[in-house]
Amino acid sequence: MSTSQSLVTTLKGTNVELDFHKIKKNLKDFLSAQDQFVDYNFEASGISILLDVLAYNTQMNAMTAHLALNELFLDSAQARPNVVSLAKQLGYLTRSVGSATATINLTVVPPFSYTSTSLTIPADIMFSGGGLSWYTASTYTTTKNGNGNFYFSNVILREGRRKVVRYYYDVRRSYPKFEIPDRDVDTSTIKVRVKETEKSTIYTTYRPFTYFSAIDDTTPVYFMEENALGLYEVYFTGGDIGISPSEGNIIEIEYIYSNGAAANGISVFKTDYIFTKAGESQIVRATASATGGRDKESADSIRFNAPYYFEAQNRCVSFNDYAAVIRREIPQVESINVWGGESNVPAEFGRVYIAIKPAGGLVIDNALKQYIINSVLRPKAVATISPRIIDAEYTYIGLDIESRYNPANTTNSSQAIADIIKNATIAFSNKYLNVFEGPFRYSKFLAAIDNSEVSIENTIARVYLIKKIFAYANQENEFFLTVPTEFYDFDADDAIIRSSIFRLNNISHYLIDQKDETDPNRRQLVLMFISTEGDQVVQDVDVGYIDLIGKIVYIYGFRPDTDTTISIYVNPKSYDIVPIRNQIISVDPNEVTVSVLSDYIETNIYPGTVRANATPRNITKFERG
Amino acid sequence: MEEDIIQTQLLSYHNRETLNVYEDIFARDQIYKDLDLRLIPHPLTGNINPLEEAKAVIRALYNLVMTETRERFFNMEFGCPIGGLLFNLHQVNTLDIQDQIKRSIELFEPRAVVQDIVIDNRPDENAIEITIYFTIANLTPEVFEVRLSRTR
Repeated sequence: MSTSQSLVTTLKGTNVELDFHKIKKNLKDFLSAQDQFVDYNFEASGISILLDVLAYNTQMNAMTAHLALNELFLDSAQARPNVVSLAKQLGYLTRSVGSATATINLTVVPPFSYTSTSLTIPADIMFSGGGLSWYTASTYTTTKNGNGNFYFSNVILREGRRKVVRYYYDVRRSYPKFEIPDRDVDTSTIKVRVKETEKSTIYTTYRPFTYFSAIDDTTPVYFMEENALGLYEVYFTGGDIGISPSEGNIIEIEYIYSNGAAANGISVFKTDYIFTKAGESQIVRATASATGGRDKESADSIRFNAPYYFEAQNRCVSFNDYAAVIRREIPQVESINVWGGESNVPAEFGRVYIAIKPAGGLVIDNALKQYIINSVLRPKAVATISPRIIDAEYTYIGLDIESRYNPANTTNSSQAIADIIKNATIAFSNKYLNVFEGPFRYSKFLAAIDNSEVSIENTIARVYLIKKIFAYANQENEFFLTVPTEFYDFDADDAIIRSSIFRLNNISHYLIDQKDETDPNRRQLVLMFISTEGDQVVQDVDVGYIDLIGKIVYIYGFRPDTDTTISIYVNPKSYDIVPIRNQIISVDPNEVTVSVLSDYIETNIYPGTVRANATPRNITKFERG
Repeated sequence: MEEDIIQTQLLSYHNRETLNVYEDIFARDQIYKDLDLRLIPHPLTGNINPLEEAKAVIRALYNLVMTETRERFFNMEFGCPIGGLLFNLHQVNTLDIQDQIKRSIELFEPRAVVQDIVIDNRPDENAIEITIYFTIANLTPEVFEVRLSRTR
């Protein structure tokens, strides 16, 4: 065979090709340099069939090598079982489905014949809500109140269904593993009990392995991991570390399997359970919608978390350690931020601050905070450092969006485009905001709007910040609000912040700011009222101030007529809003206005002759609210 | 000027890639030469001799007709979808078979210019005899016969 170039030179790309046709083309290129067989270009020829076999074989080998190598590393593995297996080598246990919790106040009105003065709600009483099952998380007891009712406050319900699986411990298998047959198990609810024989009534309760120093050779401890099928397995040490079940023992694994994130937001619950006697009536009120439900950890999340967890080594030393440990132990966490007390305002040395946003909710409840500090962090934290969990502080973004569109490029009406823009705004918020360290990038936002509909030519959006406060009636209210960006203009003659209207002494009032002539770094807050004639009059000049340097709004000393939510609108200096520490930014859909106009340039026959009516960047007077 | 030449060469290469075989047929400068997949050694030399000219094309037609469509990986269209007809020989439409074979040859074996296809249906023997009369581009007329018979 006469060749003008070597096989290696011609086929040098073949080994890295993964595409069948490219491999075959490389082989044809090689054959083009010889004259022994020239029919390779005809698909029906024998040499072409041989090339197919060669190319197929090469492609299979290349793909196998490519996939095998990629699946060997945590960064590049795609198949979830492989990601889980690689994370296992780092000592990382994947996060299971997290069941949502809801807090309710329950009033039980017993029939007259029920004479007991105290009532206990057992754990695991089933409630229903949103088509799902909920269980009381623990036991609650109360006494009869003055009305003859039993009132239980802050009863915690957990979503899911309880299940028990039983296994026979067979010593013939070395290190047997006991599979939990539900993929949706919440591993934080798993309880492992072992009894001697089928007829025994005495159980030994095993506890999950945490770290070696916590166990000795008499500690009943179990281990857990996720297997290749995505199911969790419980296994024991075989007697090497802690105690292990022995031949013939019965292992009971009790757990809750739940619907994860689907249960978030449910707020109506009821139960058929009779707490006292037939004839009783019940009033169930949720104090907040259900939160904390999370789906099983994704491969992407495992890829991100496992190295941090390994770095933390089950100890809380650096900021990342705290985040990694809490993320692993608490499935309800959607977003977390940790910073040292020295970075806090005001600085507080010897502390670590942790802000947590739960899935499907805004803040986590106090019971969970206590659990995280006492059971999750304290055993792993440096002794002299005291962790403190604080709630996320939300700053909402309001938007006045004005888009120009070319009607020739779309069949959508301007109203339909406005709806599309509003949905794109909400989608942008869900994708980039609503988490700690999730900044609002103005140009990215405009690009998202411009790309939301094909006919949109350009967009202008004015950005406002909104702080929401809940003021109680008939008491002095005090608020300390931090704003994630500088205020629009320190020396503005007009207001740079303004509140929504609330009723005070049966008259409409609002808050507004004005220059403080004595201090250039402050602006004074003023309480205004709107008279029956519509005049806006200063009522009080001593209701708070704005700290322009510290980016703080301090409000004190006003009493609305009723409990009311008041929005404080802020005109920011920059349209890029960057949250820090416990701040979270979110777009409030109720504060988004959209106007869509046909574009002047595209719709005018002689666009170069008349000046376009462009949208002003800033309005002359800040009157939002 | 130099850029123009490069551009022309690129276009020429591109055309060859997309239009492929017709250029080879009508302006060929070498004879057809193919590997005989039966791999029968020459009785004297013991070498596997290449098939040349008409024999190469006939063998290619055989490969084409005997390959069922969807049989070849990454080239599902390749082949002749007539194998399934052997299981329903009493209802075979000879026109259909002719069309299928003609279409396949036009698509995948442009060296052969079909003159006629004769179908001899032999249901008692579970077979169809197919005779393809064709000319090879730039060569004299050829006849190719193939017998399709059921193996199960």
